[in-house]
Amino acid sequence: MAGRGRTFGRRLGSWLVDGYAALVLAYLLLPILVIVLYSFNKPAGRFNFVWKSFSLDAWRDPLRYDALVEAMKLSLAVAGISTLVAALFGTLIALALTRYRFRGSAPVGLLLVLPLTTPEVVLGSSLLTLFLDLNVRTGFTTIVIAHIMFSVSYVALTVRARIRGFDWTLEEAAMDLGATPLRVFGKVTLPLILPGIVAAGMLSFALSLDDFIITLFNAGSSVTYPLYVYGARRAAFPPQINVIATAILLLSLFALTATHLWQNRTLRQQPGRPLPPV
Amino acid sequence: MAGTAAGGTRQSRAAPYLLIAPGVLWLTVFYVVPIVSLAQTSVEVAGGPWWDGYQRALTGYGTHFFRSLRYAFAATILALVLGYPLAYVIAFRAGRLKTLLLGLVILPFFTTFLVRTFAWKTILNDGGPAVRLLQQLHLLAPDGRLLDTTIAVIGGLTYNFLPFMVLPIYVSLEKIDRRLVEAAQDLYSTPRGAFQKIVLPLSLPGVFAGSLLTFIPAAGDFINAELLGSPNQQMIGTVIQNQFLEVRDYPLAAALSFVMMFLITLGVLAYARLLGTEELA
Amino acid sequence: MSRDTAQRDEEIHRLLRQALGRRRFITRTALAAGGLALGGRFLAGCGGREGGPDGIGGGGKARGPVRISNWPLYIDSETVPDFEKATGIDVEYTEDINDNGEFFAKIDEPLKRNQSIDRDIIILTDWMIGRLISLGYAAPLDNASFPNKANLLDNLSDVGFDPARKYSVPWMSGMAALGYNPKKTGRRLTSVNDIFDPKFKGQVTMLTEMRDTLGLVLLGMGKDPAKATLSDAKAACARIKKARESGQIRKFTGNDYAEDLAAGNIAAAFAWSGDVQGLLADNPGLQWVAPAEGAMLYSDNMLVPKTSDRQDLAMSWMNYVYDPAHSAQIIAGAPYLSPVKGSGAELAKIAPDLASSPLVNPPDDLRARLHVFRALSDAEDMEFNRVFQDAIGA
Repeated sequence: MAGRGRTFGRRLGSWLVDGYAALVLAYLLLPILVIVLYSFNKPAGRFNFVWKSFSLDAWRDPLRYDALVEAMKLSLAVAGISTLVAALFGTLIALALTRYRFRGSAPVGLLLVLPLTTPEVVLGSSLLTLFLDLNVRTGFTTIVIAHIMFSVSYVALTVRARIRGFDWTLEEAAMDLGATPLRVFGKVTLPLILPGIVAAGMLSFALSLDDFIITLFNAGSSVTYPLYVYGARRAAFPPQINVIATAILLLSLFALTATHLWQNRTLRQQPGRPLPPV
Repeated sequence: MAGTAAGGTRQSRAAPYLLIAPGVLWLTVFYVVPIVSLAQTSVEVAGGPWWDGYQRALTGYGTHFFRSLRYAFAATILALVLGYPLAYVIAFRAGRLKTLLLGLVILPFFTTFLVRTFAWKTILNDGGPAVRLLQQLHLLAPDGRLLDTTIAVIGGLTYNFLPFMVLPIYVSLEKIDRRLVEAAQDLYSTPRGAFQKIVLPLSLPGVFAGSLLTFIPAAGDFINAELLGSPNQQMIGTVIQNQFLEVRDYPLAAALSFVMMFLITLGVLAYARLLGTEELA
Repeated sequence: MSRDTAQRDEEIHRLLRQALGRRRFITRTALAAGGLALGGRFLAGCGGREGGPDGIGGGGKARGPVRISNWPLYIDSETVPDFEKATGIDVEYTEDINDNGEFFAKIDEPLKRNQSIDRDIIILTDWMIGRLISLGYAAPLDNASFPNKANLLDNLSDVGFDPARKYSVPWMSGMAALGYNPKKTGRRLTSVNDIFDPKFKGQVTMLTEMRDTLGLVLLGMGKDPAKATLSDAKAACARIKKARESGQIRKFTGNDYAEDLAAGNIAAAFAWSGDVQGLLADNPGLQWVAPAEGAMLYSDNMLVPKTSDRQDLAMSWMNYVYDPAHSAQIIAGAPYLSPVKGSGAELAKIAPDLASSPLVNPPDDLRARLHVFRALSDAEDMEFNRVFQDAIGA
């Protein structure tokens, strides 16, 4: 009897936890719902802030504002390139910090945290001064440089959190079996750390897509998506902004699903430690 | 951590330095150098003692510093309270839905910060659904509002940095060996006991990392305060921004930045102490 | 009204497309110059023009486009293509100025170092133009190739920050005063001080643009903004600060008070004339009034950065837009005040409704109530700004 009561209590507890988590997830997704919903709005004037009536107009003509599309393309290019570089640099640092004990590891840890404690406006303006000192024309390249700078820390810390405490004996075993270091890396190390890198990469991609202040200083005459949105809202906020945002969301969902499927496949191919999803 | 030492002895001493070289070089050139020159700016006071900027930063902007830290702290606690159970459910109870749920957690990242915050404005508008609902429930005065209040700012901060809290906690929970949890459940006989003795302690590194990733950007943020708050909710980020761009009092702006960074670092160290984490992140 | 907005919207799109067309053209030109050696005829063809005689010949004449930075929605859609057709000079028109201070932060360092900012004309507000001139960042205008400069309105032709208009000419002028939503105020607003009415607590906004907000509050206190001393400013700021701390003032904004007026979050705001005209589609009842005490007048001015290597092209542009008919054309797309003599008559020909609007063509009694903020030295500007930023809580 007592056992049954406890089972019921446990189940109730689980339901409560699940329900709570569902609510939190709803909170996270609520604004996204609004963004998607308002892509179907037909605003009365120039500002898409008040719901008027359902319309497919913006979806029929999503590319109406060329400058918006160009800004989105630029943002995606910046995010893509800076993520690749930051993922590489950050992962290498994370590997060094988790795999080796070396003089200077503490300052490196500090160096990773410091950019996160620096207000963005400081990062942006001081970096601009540097570019000017070096006579570098601001534009696409300087945006990418800045984004790599703030992404490296995030990647290194995320990957490091992910791989800390891993059992590396597998590597040693492979070495003992005569595998070359490169082979060990490709067959053992990389599969172990890849999910961490992918997670960090997504984070860095999203951060880059998001960044406004640092970009503002170092963009020169280039206009990224956030810069466009910020500037546009003073004069107009067309539903096309929501349409493009929704399109990016769909694309991300697609990428997530693809990653999921790919990981499941790798999982089947390589029995061993199950790969945690992204 | 045993593998660390073993790895270190076996391979060349230069290996870790080679690994960190590109990233560290990048951060040195594009972060350290500019910051050092900024430090120089902070003490280059025309017609006054070198500490003038710092003095003004400390005496004139105490409210802003205090407010920023308070809001960031509130947002961090809220994000923890909201984020931990979500991370827990995803790690232990989601089964096949795990990837999907994690995807949904980071989905907001892929809409621009600004667009998301504007969406909040739409939700919180004076005539909007949230206000009307709260007024019907008598939780808000008939002439009350949500937009441009402290609640909106802290809510916005919590919202924007919540995924930063969920992800690291999830990662640390995910790493816990399931057999250990099962054994603990047998040993302590209740899920709560197992949670308190095993799961929670093992997830603390994640809690620590998540709190940092929430607290630090929240303390330096100014977009939420600007779009969702009134001038009485201005945070230090706005002040720094204005001193840099409008007033052009560079020594003060630089000094404010350094006081800010110092306070954050102090908070981080205290927090690390509290959780018993030896490393910084 | 909504038709007007729809038209304007359409214009924006065309303008944006067209601005993009220019940019593509530049890329292709650069590619061609990079070794493809395809000859002038092809280059001109790339521009996408229908190939008039100007287009073909233009390839050799103009060294790349004239690059203009302006505020969003501050021009009609015809002027740029018309100018290109008339002169054969390509235009790269960018709407990337949202804030004087922000834009200054972007261009200050390069100009200090004598580096190019990739702009041949920038358009900024009076005081900022004054700062740029005093910092030596401006190239003097070449009056010989700018005969239409004579069309500049007399009262704008000699200003404190730029005597005899050696470096700058106004692009457009505007008025800052009260914008309000009668549905929320429940009454007509007639005085600047209505913004301090406790009935509107938490429902009013002011501008972050110091001279406009400070000037209006000073007018409300019976002071003349043209003679404002630091102690006047301090008194006005104390009043603003008190209202801010009590929760009377909901926000200090740039153009973005427009969102809140449109969405019905605020009852009254310090607002710019042209904005309110543009907002009528979102909220048809909105009013803009110049209160009894007066309104602030400002101009946004064209200036050629000293590092521009295309100053002759910049002069062609200025000369073009200072033709009364061309100026009227611009006003038809952006309802502010033209600084060009005779543009009112031209506007009446193409947009009679607009020409009769007091926002575009202020009657004499309104003109008499327009004030300009005193020219501040750099040190004064910093001092005033410090007090003001403290008052607005930043």
